[in-house]
Amino acid sequence: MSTPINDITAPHPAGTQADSAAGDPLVRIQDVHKFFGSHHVLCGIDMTVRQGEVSVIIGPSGSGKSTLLRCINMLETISAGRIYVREDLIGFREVKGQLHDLTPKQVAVQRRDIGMVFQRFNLFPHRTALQNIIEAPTQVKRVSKTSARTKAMELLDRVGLADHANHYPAQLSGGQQQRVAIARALAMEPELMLFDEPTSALDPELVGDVLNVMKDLAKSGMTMIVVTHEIGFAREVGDTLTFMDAGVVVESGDPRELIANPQHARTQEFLSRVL
Amino acid sequence: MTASASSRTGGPDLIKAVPVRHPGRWVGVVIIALFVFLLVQSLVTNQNFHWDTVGTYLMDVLVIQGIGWTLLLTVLSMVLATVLAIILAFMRQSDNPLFRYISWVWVWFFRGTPVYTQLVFWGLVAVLYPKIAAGVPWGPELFSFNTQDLIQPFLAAMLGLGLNESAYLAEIFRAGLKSVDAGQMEAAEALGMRRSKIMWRIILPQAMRVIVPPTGNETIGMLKTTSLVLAVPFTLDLTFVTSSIANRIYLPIPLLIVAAIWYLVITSVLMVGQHFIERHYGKGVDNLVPAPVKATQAVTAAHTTPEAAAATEEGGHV
Repeated sequence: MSTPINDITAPHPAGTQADSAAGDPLVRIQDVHKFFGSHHVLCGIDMTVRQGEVSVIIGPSGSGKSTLLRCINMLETISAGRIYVREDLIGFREVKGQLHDLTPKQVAVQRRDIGMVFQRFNLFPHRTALQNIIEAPTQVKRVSKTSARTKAMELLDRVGLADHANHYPAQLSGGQQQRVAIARALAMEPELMLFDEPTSALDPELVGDVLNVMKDLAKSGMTMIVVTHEIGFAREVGDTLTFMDAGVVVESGDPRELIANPQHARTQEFLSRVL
Repeated sequence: MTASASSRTGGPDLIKAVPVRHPGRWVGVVIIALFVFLLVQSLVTNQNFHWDTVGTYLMDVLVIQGIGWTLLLTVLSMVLATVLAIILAFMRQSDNPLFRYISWVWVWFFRGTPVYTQLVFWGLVAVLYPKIAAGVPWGPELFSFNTQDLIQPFLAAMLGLGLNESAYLAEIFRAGLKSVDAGQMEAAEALGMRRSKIMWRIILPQAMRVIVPPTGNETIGMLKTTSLVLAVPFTLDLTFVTSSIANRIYLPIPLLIVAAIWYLVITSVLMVGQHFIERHYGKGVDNLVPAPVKATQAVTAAHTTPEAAAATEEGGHV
């Protein structure tokens, strides 16, 4: 039911493992539960994501995959278990076995190293693409406006939108907005990127541009957790594929193998419907 | 034929349809013009309006000073109310239950009692509390002052109007904050921004689109509510001045007209101001020049070079 947590072979220097999943563990999710009232959304999730790994999570709606992602940067608080990013316990401080809530300031500090991309982009509509990207670096990291702007232009160039820097979100297509949103998250130089169904709100012909940006990001060695319905992306870019259903990890493994040869009936049924 | 794009390319015949005629509108215009003419004629010919007196007092020094005081009261009490309303609305959305409770009680009290009563109380505060002192309870007094010296009628009027208005504005601001999509808060949180910064830089500027129109309403309402300050009593505002002149010369109608004209002029000026404030906060949402959804490289490169983008960005912050 769950992936083994500690099977690190040889430790590799970070960054050199662009497309293999053999780095040190970056995210460790241990027996995580989440309740919304009496609704048990996550029922004991174990998962490890290594440095440089692209971990893809699929599953039917309501399987808890988005909730799991949101727990990693504390948009939701877990009800039981532990989530570590590097050595940091997410959301809490543990003193002699007793957990204490983090202050809002400590939570904000933890979030700075974790980028998140949302299904509905959530760009700031009153700010241009460029202003969206420099907002957090200048306001949170206190980077000077000039250098934040230079960096933002590089990022916009990287996502293919350098000539849209001055456009407001409402003047951009969904695909362009999502690419700006990715650039905005990257501007904080995160060590982990979370993607919550980044292409689900897009017209089919715009999906490719966003996936290409994500593919390039994966190649550059970014650690990514991607909740998606894009099986093709999982097969091509993913290092591991996890299938979730009803709040549990049904199975997890090499994407190509898992897609070609799913072991569980539920996985088979899901894949037969989406492929 | 001119060298237009269509003629060069041998383009389509542009449609020149005959528009639908609206004879009813012209009949309407004639009828309304007739009524306006009759109304104006009656205003001009009816001696009871005493237009000569209106002319005499329209620019009277006392009247102009009254306008000054009325404007000052309106502006200062609205500024006070706005500052309080932002604080109250933020408190109402806070995680801290104490803040939420204080904010609720404030709105409950100041919205729940008549502004006239509140003005009378601020006028009487010196009677209720002749001396305000700061010091250690049951210990030495650090300093004190006479309330009478501190709460002058103008201050009493401003506090009375401002605190009452803050309760109404707080609800308008709260509605505005709630109108902003929850995803905005999440996106800013995910970037590691602190809550106060998110409220101030992300949520409030977007909420202002919703907040400005009803706040303009409230400001115009406040302009006329200042006429209640005789309850304090504060006796220099436009309404009090014009009615005391009217009492002196036994001609109430022309002085009411003088006051009405000035209130109308100020309201018009305020509406112009509101238009520009709305335009500012509508940035990125209202009246956008539609950019092509799938802009070609050539078109967008001509519009927006990175330098141009950076240059416009300079002044682009709220």
